[in-house]
Amino acid sequence: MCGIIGIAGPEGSDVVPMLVQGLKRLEYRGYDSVGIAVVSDGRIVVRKGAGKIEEVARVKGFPELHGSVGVGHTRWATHGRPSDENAHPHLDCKGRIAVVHNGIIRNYSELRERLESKGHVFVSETDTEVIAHLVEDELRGPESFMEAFRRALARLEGSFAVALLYAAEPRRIFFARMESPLVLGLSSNANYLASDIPAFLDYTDRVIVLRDGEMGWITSSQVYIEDWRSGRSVEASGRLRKIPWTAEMAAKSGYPHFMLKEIYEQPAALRNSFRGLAGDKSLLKAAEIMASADRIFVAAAGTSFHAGLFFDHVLGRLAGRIAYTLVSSEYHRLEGVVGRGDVLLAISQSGETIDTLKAARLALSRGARVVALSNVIDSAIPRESSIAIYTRAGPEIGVAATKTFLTQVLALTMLAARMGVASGHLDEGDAKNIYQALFKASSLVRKTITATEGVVRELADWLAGKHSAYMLSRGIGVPLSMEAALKVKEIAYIHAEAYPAGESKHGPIALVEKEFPVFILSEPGLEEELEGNAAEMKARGAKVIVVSGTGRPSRHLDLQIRVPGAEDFMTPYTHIPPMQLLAYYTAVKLGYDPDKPRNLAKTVTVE
Amino acid sequence: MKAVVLAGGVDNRMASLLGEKPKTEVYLAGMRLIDRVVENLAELGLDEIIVVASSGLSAPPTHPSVSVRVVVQEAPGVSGAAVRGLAEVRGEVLLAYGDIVAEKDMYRGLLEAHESMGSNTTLVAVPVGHALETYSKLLLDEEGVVIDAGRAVGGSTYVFGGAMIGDSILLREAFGNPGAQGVFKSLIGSGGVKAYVWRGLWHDIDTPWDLLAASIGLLGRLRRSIISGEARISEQALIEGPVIIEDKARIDHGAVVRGPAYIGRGVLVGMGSFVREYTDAEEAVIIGSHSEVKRSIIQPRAYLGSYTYVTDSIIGYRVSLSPYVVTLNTPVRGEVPPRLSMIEARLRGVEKLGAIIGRDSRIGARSILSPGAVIKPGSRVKPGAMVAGRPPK
Repeated sequence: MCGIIGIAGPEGSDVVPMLVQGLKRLEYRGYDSVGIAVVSDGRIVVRKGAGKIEEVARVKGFPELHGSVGVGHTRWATHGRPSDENAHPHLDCKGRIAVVHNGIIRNYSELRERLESKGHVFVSETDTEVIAHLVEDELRGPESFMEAFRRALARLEGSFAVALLYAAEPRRIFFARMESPLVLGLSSNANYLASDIPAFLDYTDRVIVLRDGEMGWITSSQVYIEDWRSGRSVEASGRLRKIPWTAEMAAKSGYPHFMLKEIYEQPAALRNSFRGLAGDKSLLKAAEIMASADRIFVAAAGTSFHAGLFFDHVLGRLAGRIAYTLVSSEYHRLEGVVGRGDVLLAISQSGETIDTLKAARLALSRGARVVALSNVIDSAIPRESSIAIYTRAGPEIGVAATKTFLTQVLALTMLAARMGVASGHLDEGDAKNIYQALFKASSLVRKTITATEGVVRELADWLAGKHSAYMLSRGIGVPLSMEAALKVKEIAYIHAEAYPAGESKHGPIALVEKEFPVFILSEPGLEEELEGNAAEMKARGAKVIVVSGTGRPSRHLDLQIRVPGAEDFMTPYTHIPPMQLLAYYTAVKLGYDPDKPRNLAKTVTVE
Repeated sequence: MKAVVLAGGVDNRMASLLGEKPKTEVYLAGMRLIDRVVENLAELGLDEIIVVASSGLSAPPTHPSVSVRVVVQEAPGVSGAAVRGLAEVRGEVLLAYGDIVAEKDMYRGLLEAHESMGSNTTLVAVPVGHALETYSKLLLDEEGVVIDAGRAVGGSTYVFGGAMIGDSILLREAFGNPGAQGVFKSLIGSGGVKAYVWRGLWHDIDTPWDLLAASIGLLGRLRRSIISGEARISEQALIEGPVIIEDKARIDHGAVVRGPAYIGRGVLVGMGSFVREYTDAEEAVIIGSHSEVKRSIIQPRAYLGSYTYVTDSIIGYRVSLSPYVVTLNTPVRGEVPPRLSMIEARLRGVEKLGAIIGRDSRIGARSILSPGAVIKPGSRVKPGAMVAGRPPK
């Protein structure tokens, strides 16, 4: 995803090094080109190019640039290939307006045609450049830039977060948000805007999250926000939040990679999430809404989808209900199905996942209620939902979800337990026992990491030489094996596929040959069936590695990853950490950067 | 800050290779173990490095950028060495074990972690998977605090990494206790031990087999070839990188060297020989013509006669193999020492085992050494002998 940063510093200051630092903080969003623009002596100066930040900064001479107000951008190509021309910022014909943009302008080709026919000259293939020319086109006579900007926004269709510089108003950065994330950072002597908080967390922790339809400007000392559709100014001081994450928290603090750091942060993330949710009235309210629903749908993508499938399993156990879980990009299936009386549970770590947002909107438009589960307070999906519950995992920089998965699973188990109570399936005593077990999730993860990191580190040396693997389990372990497979795929680039173990003989076993890696996530009560599946694999020469909490040795396995014993709904905390570590160490062994897997972005805000 | 390095005494488990020599005298990729530790510490900005050695140290380690001083160990064991070295320092000290093969970054990371974590004592913890006997296992809590230590600690895959920083008085007191468990218990009791987890190259050298693992680890890190301009390489020889070939080494006509491999100073690789991956041939080794060597460590001045076949083996200092000596390397199932039975090797099914030949031994022509054969230092094996394998524990 593209990343935006803008800094309005006091007169005489130089924000260029801060822009570069901010862009580095946005690297995790994935990018192929970078650029910055500053206002200098009443002129806009742009430096940009395709490549890594350090390289572009060096080749294009970022350090020679100086200015107290500027914007920066990391681009992830959607319209037009990665190139110097297509990198942001983009300028209008006269070079007096500079634009950085995240999102997609859907009607850009017709706008471009119209503007070209009026004599505007385009130099890139991007949809973004249209914004610069459109504002230029609207800019006439003595009226303010804001008027022109407002009219331009009214003509744009699609999703966008934009920041603009205007040479005639050199102290200001103009901005607008529609569907793509944009946050403001406020401090005593400078103000900031960015796609995500870590970009300016080094400089301030006071944040306003902008809402769709909001535009405005910042200077070093002032902030102005209005709703461009109503034209009314917005009083946002009540929305000012202090972010408890420190810049130090967002940095790697001694770990070689964010992913490893975040794996290690899981005990703390689980503890914080448990504490936050245990007394949370929203959780009780959400449970009541869901328990009284006619039908329960779950929409989520990627790792959140696996958390959704897990919820499906525990819901049956704890509340005697069934949920219909679907991958959120398939939200069209809800059309004509979901309706009044139904509840959709929308799970998204960032709260900005576009497909999940669309699913939530569809459900709402059809009269259903939406419960959101997110890690980012006041993000798009929670804001639009009937009610929101939050995990407290802290910022997750590594593109591969780690701590957010386990905190989602924790929150969903608590939700299922409360639903069980609300529907009379469980009594308070049962719920208390479940909460007591969940309270120990944190120490369970810590013990698991201690007990497995060494074994897994060596195992990774072996897996690094493989091209393909199966991850098998039964029951609650099935979504866990899917999550394990996803980690190995996205980080180590090894094809890994998860199957319910019983299903493995209906086809997948045909691929098993000598030395083929088969990982089995054992579940309490299902060991015997799984051993049967292990034997089938072993008979075809597979290498069988079992993650299990029981010490019972089996002749059908080549290696046991011994984890602490736990009840089935607690196995995420013992089975997932070794698989995360396995993906991590395999990637490191193969020389890949686990924090920035190729072709992947952290927050998917494009359909 | 000063550093104390425990160069160690004679280890019985290494006697099959070294005899009466201390184990830190053994060479790996061109350096003695003790020299590598000094090298790793040299750029940390230390005031002085004090090496505690027993009488067997052949030459004191030196370094151009830091002062190195050798003191002689009086009382036996790790404790004796530590107490002797710690008596030379005041205030905070970096204590490093000489039998650890690791990278510079491990010691640098330890130093930075100690400065930033603010605990009384900071030590290196390493995650390892194989159940090797070790100085001590460590149990850590989520903040990285060491809550228990000792060989019997369950549920942990971290072991003590052989380096720590702490107050010299506390450390001296701790090392007054018998055994590793006593040392760590004392440190934990004296107000907090934090672990710096090191995930890079790390090998603890306790048995000759550990040398093979360490050599594979070191040579496996080679990414490009470094070939001395003073090496003499025949135009008909074939070098497939990555390899290190030192000064005055000579690779004769038709020889093939396939990396990763280390060819030390003055080594001769004879005509038509095949030096394969993970061969570590130290200074002045001679590999006669038409021989094959793979995954083996050959200590300085050893001589491999023509037509010898050496794989998965460790050949001691000044050993002589007469022509046609063969090491066999396919072990009987289950007879691989647990220390060599890494998870990776086990799953790959490539657990192989050659011979250990102690220093100054002479093996007669056409002898056959079975997998796991161990020949004591100074032995004379008659020509045509068949030596059975008795893999060490």
